[in-house]
Amino acid sequence: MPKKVDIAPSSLAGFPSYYRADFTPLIGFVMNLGAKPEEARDVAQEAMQAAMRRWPEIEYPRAFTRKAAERVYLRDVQKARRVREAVLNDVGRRAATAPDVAVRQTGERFALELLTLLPSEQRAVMAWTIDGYSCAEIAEITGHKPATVRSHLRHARRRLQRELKARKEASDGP
Amino acid sequence: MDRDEGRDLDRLLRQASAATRRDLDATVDVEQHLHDLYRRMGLDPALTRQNESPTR
Repeated sequence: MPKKVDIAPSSLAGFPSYYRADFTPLIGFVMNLGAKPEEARDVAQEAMQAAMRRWPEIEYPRAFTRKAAERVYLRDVQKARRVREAVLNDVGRRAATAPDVAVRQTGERFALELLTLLPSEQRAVMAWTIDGYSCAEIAEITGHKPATVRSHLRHARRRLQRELKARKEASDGP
Repeated sequence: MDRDEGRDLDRLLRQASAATRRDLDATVDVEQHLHDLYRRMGLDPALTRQNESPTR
């Protein structure tokens, strides 16, 4: 049961406009982190709820909600992993975390499917980058070192470019 | 070569994000979710109209 807090309606000036403009982009951001659409919608809503609670003090709502959404999503992933590990023990854990799943989806969305190939830290940096944030901004918002963010981005892009090239060569055929 | 591949990657990611966004805009009832959030916080959803102002 979500905890109700006292919010003065007058303190929410501008919140509905922000919500309408950024709710679906925020869902897209969470999907780029790795969530399924329904899960991403719930995570985005929880992040919006956090923003609503602290609305008067938030200077950059987009950055705030993305940071909150990333935290909520990672919390949910860790919780799901603990449950899965408890059920499946070691054998299940190895199967569940195998990183190189085949991505066979084609069409205009397949580039995002490639993100599933990346480790979570690289994937998160790609999600922020796709939303238009620079490495310096990502570092400032997430609290990571700029060099770490740059390194994750460099490795992620290199991996994605390699994968694109391999797929292009495979589709061009011998 | 690397630069071309980098541009390809950026273009594909932009296209993919735009496609996802179109799908979400077409399928997610934003107004309903906004009202749900107000209700969950114990507020009248009608306030979403009174709280209008330019986005930050």
